[in-house]
Amino acid sequence: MSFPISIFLYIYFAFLLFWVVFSLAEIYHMLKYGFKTATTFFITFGYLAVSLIIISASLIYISQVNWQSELSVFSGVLSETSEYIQE
Amino acid sequence: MLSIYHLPNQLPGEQVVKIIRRDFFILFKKIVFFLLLFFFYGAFSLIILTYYPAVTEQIYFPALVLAASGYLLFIWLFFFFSFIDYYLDVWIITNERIINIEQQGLFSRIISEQRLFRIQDVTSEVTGVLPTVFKYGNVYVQTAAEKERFSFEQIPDPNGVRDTIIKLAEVDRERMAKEIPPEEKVE
Repeated sequence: MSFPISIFLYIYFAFLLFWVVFSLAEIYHMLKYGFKTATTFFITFGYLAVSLIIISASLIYISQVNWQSELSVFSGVLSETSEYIQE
Repeated sequence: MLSIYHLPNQLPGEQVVKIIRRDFFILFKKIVFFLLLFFFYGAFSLIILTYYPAVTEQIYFPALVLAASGYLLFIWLFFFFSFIDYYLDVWIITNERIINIEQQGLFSRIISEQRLFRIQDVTSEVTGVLPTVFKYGNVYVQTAAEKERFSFEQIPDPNGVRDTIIKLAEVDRERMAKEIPPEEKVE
């Protein structure tokens, strides 16, 4: 049995959606209920900056993968190699 | 946004005496916990890439990368959530009242206040090894009207805060006693 590895991509994007919703809720709380101080803005900016770095690095990698490759299971499980990095 | 210059329902002449959050050690424990989670991620990645370098050529490797990215985003999100839980729990002592602002999770926020002249009893409590070493603990404020105690939790210098509240409450009671209600002036 085989299935395209793009399934992992869809699962990742679903997780990313969940992550974005909760991040927006947290930033909303921080900016609405936090004290009007430099700490509040610094921490919020730091959160956004680090998040952006992680997501950007992930998206750069994602763009290099051929997500149409198929993963075979139950037949020499997960042993095959593939040219999933696009030329 | 909150401002120390514009408190919720600020009374005329009210001045902020102290703004208190949980002790920094509480935040430090959270930071160490999340650093450990980042460390596990780094150590696991290093071990895999050192001892099984062929894993990068496997067809399932992109799934591992996505899982790693998800893991990092997840712990980063929960670190921020944990920080907000610490940062938005605030106790404000003014010369007229004490205000307790408590963030419980993302979708629950409790704000309560007590007037200082109503305070009957203030108790500070430091129990346990870490609270004793790092000098943090709880302060409980009992008022005449309320059965439930007003509590400051895991705050630094609980004894000093208790003394401050007691002194401010005495001053506020004296001030209230001097202010004769208008109806008593009419004979």
